[in-house]
Order: sequence, then structure tokens, then C-alpha cells
Amino acid sequence: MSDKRDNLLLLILADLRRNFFVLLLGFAILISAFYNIYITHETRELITKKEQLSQQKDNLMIEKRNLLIEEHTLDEHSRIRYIARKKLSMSQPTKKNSVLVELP
Amino acid sequence: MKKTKRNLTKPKANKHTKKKKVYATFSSWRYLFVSLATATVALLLISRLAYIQVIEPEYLTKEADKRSLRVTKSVAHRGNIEDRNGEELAISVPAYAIWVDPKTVKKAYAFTLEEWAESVAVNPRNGSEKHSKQYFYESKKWPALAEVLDIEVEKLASIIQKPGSRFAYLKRQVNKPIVDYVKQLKLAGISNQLESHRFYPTGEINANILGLTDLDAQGIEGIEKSYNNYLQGQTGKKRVRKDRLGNVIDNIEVLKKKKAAGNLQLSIDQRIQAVAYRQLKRAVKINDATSGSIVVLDVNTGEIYAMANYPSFNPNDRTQYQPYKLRNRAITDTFEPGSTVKPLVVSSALIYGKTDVDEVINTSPGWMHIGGRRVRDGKNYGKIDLAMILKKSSNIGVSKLALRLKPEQLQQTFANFGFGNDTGISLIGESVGRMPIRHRWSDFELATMSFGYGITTTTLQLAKAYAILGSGGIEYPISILKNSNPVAGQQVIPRHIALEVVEMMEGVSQKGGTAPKAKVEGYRIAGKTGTSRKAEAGGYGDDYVSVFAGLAPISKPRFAIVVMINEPQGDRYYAGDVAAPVFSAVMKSALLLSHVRPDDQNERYTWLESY
Repeated sequence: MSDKRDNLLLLILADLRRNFFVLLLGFAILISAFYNIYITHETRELITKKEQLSQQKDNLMIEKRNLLIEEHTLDEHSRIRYIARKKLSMSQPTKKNSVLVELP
Repeated sequence: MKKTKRNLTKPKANKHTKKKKVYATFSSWRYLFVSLATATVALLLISRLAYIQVIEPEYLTKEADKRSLRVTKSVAHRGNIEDRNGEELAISVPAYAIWVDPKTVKKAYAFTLEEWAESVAVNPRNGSEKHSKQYFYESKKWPALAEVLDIEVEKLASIIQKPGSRFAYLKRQVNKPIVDYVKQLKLAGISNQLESHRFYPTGEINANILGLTDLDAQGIEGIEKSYNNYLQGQTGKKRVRKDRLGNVIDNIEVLKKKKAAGNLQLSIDQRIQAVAYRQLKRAVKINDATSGSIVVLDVNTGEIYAMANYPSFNPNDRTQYQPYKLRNRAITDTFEPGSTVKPLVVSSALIYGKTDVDEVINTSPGWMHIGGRRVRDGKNYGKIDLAMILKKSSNIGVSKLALRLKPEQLQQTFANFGFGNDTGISLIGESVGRMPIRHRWSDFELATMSFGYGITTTTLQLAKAYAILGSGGIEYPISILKNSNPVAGQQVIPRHIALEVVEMMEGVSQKGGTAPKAKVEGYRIAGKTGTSRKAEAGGYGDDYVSVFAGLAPISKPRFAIVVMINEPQGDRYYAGDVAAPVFSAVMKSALLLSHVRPDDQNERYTWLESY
């Protein structure tokens, strides 16, 4: 035991310097652990977002189907024929008022 | 100086002594105690940790999973059915079933006043009375529920009061707004469940061919049944982890793979189909007939462009559901084709070299005896050629041709035209008709077979036979699905004979023929009428089947159409009056909509030649 009082801080620092590599590895582990947490969080957020988007897609598909039904109920041929005949006074062209065009 | 020196040394000495003192006061048991205590605590913590993490991790994992693991469903809706132009004929949309758990309701609601009175609980602290149950008939929510679901309150009450029940549907196939409303009522024991609703935008026009699904989205008739496996998707199941807010944060595993349902594209052209159904319905109603069928075939591919039946029903309204309306009569119902087989007999005679195209046959005096039975024509046509036999539909003429053939030869020709065999459409309920196989045929039986008695066919089979004539003797398998790549046909009748017979049939729709009403302006059409008495127990009765089968345009046949009207009433039961107008209207629409070039040289068109 020397008479000279050693500075503890310096001692610790010196010790750390001696085991610098181990220290570095420790830090690396810490950082990677935090990064792991961060990435997990990010992943979960992305999965949630993807899930929401596919839900949205499903809803849009359902809406599309409903709109298709509406469209086809409105464009049903008998209905169009009826409207053309009765409301718009249209009729199918006969040979007298039709022109045959031959494409090359 | 001295003092300072002393001062300088003294602390040093003091320090020294102090230090010594510290060392002196160091007691090993204290140190030991503290380190032991610390070590014990640390050891305890570590061992607990090890216990949780390593030795017994399942318990906590299980508890965590209980709180976060969920199974989610991803519903695959039944595939759409489309026509050849991609127009949807059947679409599935999500619907909901509202169901009730009567036990839960009974826990919260009292149905009798006594029960209600019994449910009083007295608060011991302030002595106030409180009912643990609500009186059912006092609540305003139940009548609201009954009204929105269109059930009477009494019926609702009786469903719920049923003893021992834990599940009962209140209403199925309700849409989203109603479900949202029911959810807002927040009634105990009322829940909903996702299901699928099948919707048919074209209604009764396609009902017979498409068929139906039941409430559990399983096909029970027609194409819905025949192609059920293809149309049906598989609902996927996934195990996921959810967070506190119900968001999915991790996909753990796929329990059941989702299989998207396939969309089915039919060969039906909805525009032609709509016309066909409308014309058929009109004809059946005007002639007071019991039923009718029509088939439109593409001669060159075997695809069905339209296939309609009457009576039909609206598949979107299940209260109309009656099995007899559902039948796809064009493939299930057989009838004796009558005179419509005459062109086939002529073909047979030509194939086996028993006649030639220009032969003139003497049909005088308009009747003849065959094996003691009498065959007759409407009147004496005298000496006529083959085309005239078809034009006038002479029974004597074809009988004479048939008698030159061996029965097996005629039957072979009929078989080549597809009679007595399936058409290849592969829909359930298809009938193959009847082709009696016998060793001995009397001449009279052979003669009657030549004008369409004693054998039966479906409307589709007859259409196929005419399509074979139109395609120059090539048989294509009949298909209700759109063929993306051309199918190879099979030559069953010599090409020149098929085309000659088609030419011969032109007279039928001309002046003096049996069906001038079958004419389509601008086009040359080939066709044949058939009016046969219906067989009933003990002979032939007073009811008729009116059939018209035809092809157009003659110069390059494109469509074969067969119209069958069953049991027309009234004076005009001849096919030329009953079935031919339907043929004409539908053929006209089919040709115009498919841009088939008019081939009638007598019709004058304004031509715009391109240079």
C-alpha cells in the first residue's frame, strides 16, 4: 500500500482502458439490444399498418361488389330496352335506315 | 515556521493514526454479514429469474398468450359468375345473421310481472329497492329490434322464452346498416355473425342456368352446384398477437390458408340472353303454353350464347322459390322432336347414298300405307325434290327416304348428330333423351322415327344437331364456359352433305314454306318446324310441342337456335306460328349484336366501300 493516495477515478479509467475491448463489446451488446427493441417496435407498427391497409382493401372490395350490383341492376338489358322504347321513343333500326359499312 | 512544520506533520500523523483506526475498526463479521446478505438477495433474485425464465417459463407465456393471442378470420367470398363480356351475373356481398342467446336475455329480462317482482333486491344500507332484471315488455328496445328485423314482438318473446336454448337465429342475410342499428341498441344476448349474400343482378333471366346457393353459400342448383368447388373460396384463419388497442402487432402462424374464390366466365352473351328470355316469355304467355325453352349455340365453337327457360323465377326473392320453376328445361326435359329431325333423315339418306341432291320423289296421293298403318301429308304435294320435302315438311317424302335405309343406318346418323348422348355441357340434371336400341324394327316404326316420333331429345341436343349441320358436319363439345382457346372438333358428317342440307332448309322460311314468320331481314336462314303431339298414357293426346330449329346465315352459318314451346293452347299451335317468331326475333338480335354480315343478296343495303 503506497502512501500516495490513488485517485479512484483515474484508477477506474485506467482499468477501463486496459479492458477497452471488453468495454467496446459491452457497449455493442447494449446498442444492439436497444436497436432490437426499436426494430421490434417498428415492425409491429408496420404490421399494424399492413393489417389496417388490408382491412381497408377488403372494405373497398366489398364496396366495389355493392357498386357492381347497383350498376348491373341499373344496366339490366330489359330495363334499358324498356326505357329506350317507352321514355325515349327509340326503336331498333331497320334495313331501310341502316348503312352497312365494310371495313378494309 | 515551526508551527507550520508541526502543523504539516501533525495532520500527517493524524491521518496515519486515523487510517490505522479504520483498519483497526474493520470487523470481518460485519463485512461477512453484508456480503452474505447481498449475495443471498442477489442469489434469490437470480434463482427466481432462472425459475421464471428457464425452469417454468410455460405458465407466464401461457398467461401472456391468453391476453394477446387471437385467431383472426379472413373471409373469402364466393366467386362471381360473369358472362362472356365480363358482365357479372352473380355477385356475393357480405351479409350478417342476427342471433340471440336466450339464456343471457333471460338473465337480464323478466317476462312476467311476478318474475319481475321477485327480482327485487333491497339495498341493506339505505333500504332502497332495485330490480335486478328489467321487465321485457316495458323495454322500448325490444320492439325497436323487432321492427327493424321485421318480426313480431310476440314471436321474438317466444323465441327467447324457449327453455334451455342457447342459440337461435332471429334473422339472416341482413345488411350492414341494420346490423349497426342493432349494435347500437346494446341488447343483452343479441349478437351478429358474418355470412355471405348471393345477389343476381339479372334476376329471372338467368335463374335456370345459374341455379341457386343456400344460406350457407353452397350451390344447390345449376352452375352454382356444378362448379361449387371452383366458385367456393376457403376462409383463411391466422393466429396473431394483438396489443391493448386491438391492433395486430405480430403474425404468428397461418392456421388455414386463405384460398381466393375463382370467378367463372360463362359463354352466355347477356345481351342475347336477355332478348331470348323476353321473347320466349312473351311467346309462352301469348300462346297460353305451359313452358318453353330456347338455346342459342355458336356453330363454330359449340359455345352456348343463350339458354333460357320459362317459367323462371327471381332468385333474389326466395319466397318465389318453387322447384318446378327452377328446372333448366333446355337440358332436363325431353320431347319428341317431330319434323325437326327431317333434315337429319335427308342427311342420312345422302350419306348412305340412297338418294342424290336432285332426286324428285313422288308423294302422291298424299297418303300411304306402311305395314297396315297410314302415313299422310297435309295435302297431296305431288312430285317434289328434297328441298321441297323439307319446305313442305312432307311425311311421305321422308318416310320413303327412311324406308330405303336400314334402321341401324338411320340410328347411326341420329347418334352422329348427338342424339341419345350427352352434349358435353357437364351440368347436373342433364338428360340424354331416348334412342331405342332394338334388333327388329317394323317399317312403320322406321317411318315414324323419320318424322321424329319414338325418339326424344332435349332442346340442347336438337340445337347441337343443327350446329353440326351448320359447322359443315363438325361436332364440337357443347360448353357453357367461355372457351379461351379453340376446341378441336370432330368430323361426324361429310362436309358437303351437311352444307347441302343447310341449303335445302332455306325454303322453310320462304313463301309457301311452313314458317315464313321465321324470316330475318337481311339474312338467309335455314330452319325446320316441328309440331308433335305429346305422348301420354295410352297414346298421343291433344297437346302439342311446337319446335323451331334453325341456322343463320346460310352462306357462312354462325348461330343455331332451337325454340321449344310446350303445350301451346288455342287454334294456332303450329310451330310456324308459335315458335318461328321467337326464332326470328332472337336470331336477328344475335346476328346484329355479333356483327354478322348480312348475306341476303335480295336485300338492298347502302354500301360504303372503303378505298
